[in-house]
Amino acid sequence: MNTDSETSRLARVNEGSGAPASIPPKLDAYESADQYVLLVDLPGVDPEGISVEVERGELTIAAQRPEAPAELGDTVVRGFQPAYYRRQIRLPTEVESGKIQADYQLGVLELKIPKSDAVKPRRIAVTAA
Amino acid sequence: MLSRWTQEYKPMHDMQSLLRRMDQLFGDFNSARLQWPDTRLEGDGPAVNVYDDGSQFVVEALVPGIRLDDIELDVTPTTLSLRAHREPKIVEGATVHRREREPLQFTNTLQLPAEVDAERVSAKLEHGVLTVELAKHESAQPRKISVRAT
Repeated sequence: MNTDSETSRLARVNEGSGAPASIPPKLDAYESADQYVLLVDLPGVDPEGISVEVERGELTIAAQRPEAPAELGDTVVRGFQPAYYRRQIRLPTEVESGKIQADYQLGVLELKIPKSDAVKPRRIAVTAA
Repeated sequence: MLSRWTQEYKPMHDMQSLLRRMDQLFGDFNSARLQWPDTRLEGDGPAVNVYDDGSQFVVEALVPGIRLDDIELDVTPTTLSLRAHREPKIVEGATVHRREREPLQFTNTLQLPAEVDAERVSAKLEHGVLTVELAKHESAQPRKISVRAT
């Protein structure tokens, strides 16, 4: 039996707010000495419409995968729906939010988030008398 | 998921109708497949949609992070097999904070409801969506029957 991850992860609906149901995309998060790297699965979304915003330490990623064109024909198997992806991540405050790089390849959004100089591990030279 | 729950759960009399309603709810999810009992999807692969426009099937699969080289397609008159693996991206010298994107290694076989022409199959990969078009075999194409009034 095919248990697809898309439809089994229940869409969350914001009651009463009129906001569309959204699904959180899967992500991997890494931390290196001078940056954070996030890899986010956003298959089939409109690249022009991917939004990456940082506000008060919250990073919000949103994207939309449209409905397939009607010319494709009748649906025989429905394993995934058009989707509104949305995810919010709290960033450690010490990042250079103005210098985030975003790259969308193979349906994956890669974000490189540089750490602020203040928190990069720094080598302190020790002089011995 | 639901069948496991109903086996372990000993519903009281007035819970029966609730369970029946939930069955209906989940049944709708799979109603597309129930309408086409000859279409079966086996394997633990990606989310797949299948469309039928009369002269061809179109199969869409969500395969983020997968390159064309990582995909193998096998077509027989009644099946489409999709085999793929995703190389995990390694970020050098980095600590992992979250790993939700499972490594993708799968074989998925789709039993098609009608015969296709294995010679007329095309596939494209764009933004993490694999689209495979399979032209139906001559004999499986809907044929227009002209009705003459006497």
